Amino acid sequence: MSKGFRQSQSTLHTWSGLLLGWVLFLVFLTGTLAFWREGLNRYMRPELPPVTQPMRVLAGAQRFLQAKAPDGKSWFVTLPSERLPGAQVFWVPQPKAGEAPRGRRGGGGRRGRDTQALIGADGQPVHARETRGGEFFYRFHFDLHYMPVIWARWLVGVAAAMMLVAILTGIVTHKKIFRDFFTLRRGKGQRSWLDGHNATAVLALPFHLMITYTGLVTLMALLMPWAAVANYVDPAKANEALFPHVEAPARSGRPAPLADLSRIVADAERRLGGPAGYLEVSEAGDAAARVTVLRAPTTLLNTRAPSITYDGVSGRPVWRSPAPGGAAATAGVMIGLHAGRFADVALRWIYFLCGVAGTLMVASGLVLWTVKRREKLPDPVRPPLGFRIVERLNVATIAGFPLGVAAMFWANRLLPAAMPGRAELEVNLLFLAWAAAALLALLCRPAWTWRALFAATGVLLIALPVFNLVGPGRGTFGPLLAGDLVPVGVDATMVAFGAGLLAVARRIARHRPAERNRTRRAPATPSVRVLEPAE
Amino acid sequence: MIARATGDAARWRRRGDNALRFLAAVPVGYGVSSLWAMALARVLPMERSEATVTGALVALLLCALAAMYAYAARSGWRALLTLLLCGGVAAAITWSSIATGGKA
Repeated sequence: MSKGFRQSQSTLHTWSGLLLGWVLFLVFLTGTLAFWREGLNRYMRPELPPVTQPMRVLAGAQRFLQAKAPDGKSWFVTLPSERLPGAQVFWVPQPKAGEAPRGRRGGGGRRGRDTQALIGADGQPVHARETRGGEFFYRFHFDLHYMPVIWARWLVGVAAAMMLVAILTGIVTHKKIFRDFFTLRRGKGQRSWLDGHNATAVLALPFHLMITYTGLVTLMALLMPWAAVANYVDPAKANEALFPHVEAPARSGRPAPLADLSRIVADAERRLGGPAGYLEVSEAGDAAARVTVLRAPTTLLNTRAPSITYDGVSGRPVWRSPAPGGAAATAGVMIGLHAGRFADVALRWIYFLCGVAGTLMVASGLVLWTVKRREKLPDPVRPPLGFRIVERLNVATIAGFPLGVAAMFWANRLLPAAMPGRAELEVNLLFLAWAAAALLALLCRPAWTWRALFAATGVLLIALPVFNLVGPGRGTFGPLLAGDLVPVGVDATMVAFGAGLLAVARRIARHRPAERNRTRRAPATPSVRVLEPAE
Repeated sequence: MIARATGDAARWRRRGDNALRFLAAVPVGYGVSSLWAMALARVLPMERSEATVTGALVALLLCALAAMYAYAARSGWRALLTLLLCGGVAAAITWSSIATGGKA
């Protein structure tokens, strides 16, 4: 590889990494947390016991929906599993005469609170605390917050493309990629940051490449619609060709009772060869009713689950989704690899730890940008504005956002369970805490803010499990004795991360910039370097 | 004074070159990738929907490669012209294919 080529790619690496590095950090961090989406959903609603009899829950869901929306246009039921402590139901009421029909996506917009419920382990709708739980991290990962989702997805998509460029150019930039992997020179300033950046990048390199490219694939329809434009007069037709589904039935107007959903699901599980995850009922209570059952993603690599559609009255199968073509299956598996829903607990941990490595890679890369430039500053006391902006944005993002996340976990425990609008408040508190941290980062010296924010986050994360142990609620040992490892697992992980952040804060407190030591050792040389460099 | 002037000129040339590379890497790179997505979607010997997906999957990688090339090329102009040429080829393929075959 020529030196010029490597140099050019190094420039590209630096700037593509910096430009959207802060967005990437948020995306990586929340995406990593989202690998525990279902676990966090449960952790943040500790009232809910795990489900032991899924079919009982399903029967309860059918009873509930029959009472709530006997003639519903559609019902949607996410079936309980070891990851979901109940059946999540959502329904679209029959449109009134003259009113435009509300599709699943169109018209009605977001799913209203009055048309959804969670059916608990006993088959009754539950009244647990309102929270977005792990769903928040999952949605934030690509939808961000407080902004239209299409803008957010473009922003995240562009950041992911930058990430792909940064990874590919990072590989080129590296001369001794494998030797560097085994090298970690500690306490050596820039060299240590570089080693840390390389180690976290190379250690999980296949993961980073996979997760970035497959992340782009999840947004492919938005980012790269042109292939469909070239082939279809109406690009929406491309989706129909790719993901065939049975036509929605027209309501006949003749009432007929819906077949037993538990029986249909049991039949579908046999035919699909795996557990069912999701079902949809169209035109409930009518002779034309249809029931579609999808296989659960937990046992599938391809995110597009196969499905069977049944006649809703007789309970006989009428349609089955065809096997996807090679390219569609490839794209589906890529999205499956990205989301990791198929992964069991051990593999989930590997996903999570690789995600942590990726988050650290982005963070260390951002810090490295300032560390590298600080040594070359003509006047370290007054660095140029651009440098100061990057430095403080680094603090605000890398140290500030985790504080917000910790604050959200605390809000989840402290806000009264019956409080109206508490789910939104939890999320708003995350952003309030983050805004406060960003304000500190703006006003105070970075060296102090790094330390203070990491220490505060560490304390919050360690204190939360203690609060769970002694505070009100189900405690830690109740679920543990019942064989439920999720709460104690989340608690232990929080303690580990809290301790890690405290250790980092301690190191920062002890850290003396190398330059100052040098001048101290050689006090005879008068130079501007004697002045304390901007930290 | 003269040295300063040539220094300035060199700096401006460098800035212009960087701007061209950025132009080539981001908007032009995306455009060229999109055109190849269309061309591949038209000509790959697969079912229409399959070729559509394959074209898009490949194009996402092309975006990154185009950006890398834009910075590796000898000059910004060269990067821009080469990429535009690549895009032109894809556009010609797409256009002639749609003109003869039509869309679904």
